[in-house]
Amino acid sequence: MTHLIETRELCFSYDDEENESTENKLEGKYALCGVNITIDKGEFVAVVGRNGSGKSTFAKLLNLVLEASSGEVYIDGKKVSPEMTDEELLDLRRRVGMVFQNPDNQLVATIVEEDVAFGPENLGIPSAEIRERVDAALELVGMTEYARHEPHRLSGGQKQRVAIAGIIAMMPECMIFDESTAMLDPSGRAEVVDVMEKLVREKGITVINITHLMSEAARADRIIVINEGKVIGEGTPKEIFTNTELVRRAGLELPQCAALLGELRARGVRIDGAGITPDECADIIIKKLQNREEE
Amino acid sequence: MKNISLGQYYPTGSVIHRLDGRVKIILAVIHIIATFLCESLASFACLFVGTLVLVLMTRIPLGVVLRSVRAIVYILIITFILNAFFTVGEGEPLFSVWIFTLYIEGIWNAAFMALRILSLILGTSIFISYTTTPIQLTDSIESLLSPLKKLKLPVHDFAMMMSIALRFIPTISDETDRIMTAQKARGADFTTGSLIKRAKALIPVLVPLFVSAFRRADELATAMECRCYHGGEGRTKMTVPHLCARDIAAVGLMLAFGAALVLLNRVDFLYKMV
Ligand SMILES: Nc1ncnc2c1ncn2[C@@H]1O[C@H](COP(=O)(O)OP(=O)(O)OP(=O)(O)O)[C@@H](O)[C@H]1O
Ligand SMILES: [Mg+2]
Repeated sequence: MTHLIETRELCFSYDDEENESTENKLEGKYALCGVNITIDKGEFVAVVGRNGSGKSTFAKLLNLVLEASSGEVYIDGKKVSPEMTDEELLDLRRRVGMVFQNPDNQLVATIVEEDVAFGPENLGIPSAEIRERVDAALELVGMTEYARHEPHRLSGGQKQRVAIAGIIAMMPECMIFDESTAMLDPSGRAEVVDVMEKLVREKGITVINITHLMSEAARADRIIVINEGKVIGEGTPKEIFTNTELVRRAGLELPQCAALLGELRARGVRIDGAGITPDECADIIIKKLQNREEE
Repeated sequence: MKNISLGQYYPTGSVIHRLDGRVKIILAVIHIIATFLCESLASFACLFVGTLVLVLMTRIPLGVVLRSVRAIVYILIITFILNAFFTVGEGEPLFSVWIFTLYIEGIWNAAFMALRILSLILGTSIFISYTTTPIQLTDSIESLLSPLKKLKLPVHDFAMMMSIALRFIPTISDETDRIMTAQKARGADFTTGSLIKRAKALIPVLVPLFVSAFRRADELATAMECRCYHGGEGRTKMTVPHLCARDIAAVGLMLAFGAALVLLNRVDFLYKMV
């Protein structure tokens, strides 16, 4: 079976001249180095890592905003390379949509629905179909009533949802969110993550969420941990967050609930199982308390 | 967030507001040409009444319309005075002081010129500034200029730049406010001192503003690329403007109005410009 996204020994360096000699890899001149990742259709993946670890670089390599220095990227079994024809490139960018951090810097038009239509218009979709897609996309992100509004009067979360609708209208197979919640307040963040989940569960779109928030990463099916341009860990949220060594090495912070369980454990309370969400942790603690009462 | 209205757009949903943007530009052009073709008192009177009717049709409060006239009051006065004293008439001058000689023709000419300017301002206000959104305007200009694409002129790119500029005006203006507040908190003073001192105080505002604008441009370019932007070629539009009966009728009526003005030039009542 072909994976939706597959990278083989992917390397990237921001300064071109110096990437010939292989020693540079060791000197850390590479923003990304030897990355092997596979992501399947319909997966919800979170990518975490400290500032400057290469997460954004990784995302930009997937839709050829940046060109790999060495190694390969395959999207749906098709090699991504600068030799692609213009049509192939457009198709690649359509398939792999990207939402960025600052919602202000990705909205192009002065009216919400015009902005959502921007992508499909670029693809040369017939007018009537664009209309349908725009309405459907706005409906999906819950912004139908703002269709005729001006983007600069919306809240951050609303703007970001408009940006998401703009990508959805291109009918992508995969959406990458590069710290798209970083500039939002908790309610805006919740709005956007809810949309992500909806995309995965209802539309079967693969979502890659690059984030610094562990509570957000915990909602994904799988977490990929990047540090200094290398993948240093991969697994379900439970696997990642119970691996304290890995979490420490990547400079991450545990989700508060997982941290609480860890602390209890450290103080000698015997806790079996791992919990990431507040719900799971509550269950584990209640069970423990009940056991104690019985004793 | 500050409430900035782009341009002077004043939504009332009137018939004129609902006209196609391209048609409104054409109407404005016809109106301008008609204004310059007026010569006789009869045609000026007709132009004035017609323009007034158009103003009423936009359903924009007269006070708002007068605001755009207020801006040109001085120009009107200067035009009036210059025309009044520089016209040499045939009969006896009304009076003559030093180098200033006033003929009756001078007063007529001056009044007509002032009326022309007034009508130019009102015409563009009615058809463009008050009733067309900036984005509708750029779209219409792109559409009207599209034949020039054949000459390899970058019409689409130009329209795109205009609409991005319009989109970012509020964003950048918010940012300017933020930077000014930040500099004030560091003790900057923008309101007192000589002009040069005040201009200098703006430098610490402009530098971060430019840096941030360029960063925005970079991010926006990446985002546009990711959304498959590749110039105007092969691009479609969600809303294709269609000319409806209303638009055709409006152009027809405006042409008739212009023709009527030209015909009224023949009516030699009281005064005719030469
Ligand atoms: N345009 C650029 N030119 C040169 N070096 C760059 C550029 N962008 C990023 N880098 C470098 O590449 C490395 C990886 O950067 P990247 O932006 O991918 O990190 P990131 O994981 O996205 O970080 P953050 O969490 O801050 O977004 C960093 O060391 C950074 O300094
Ligand atoms: Mg980043």
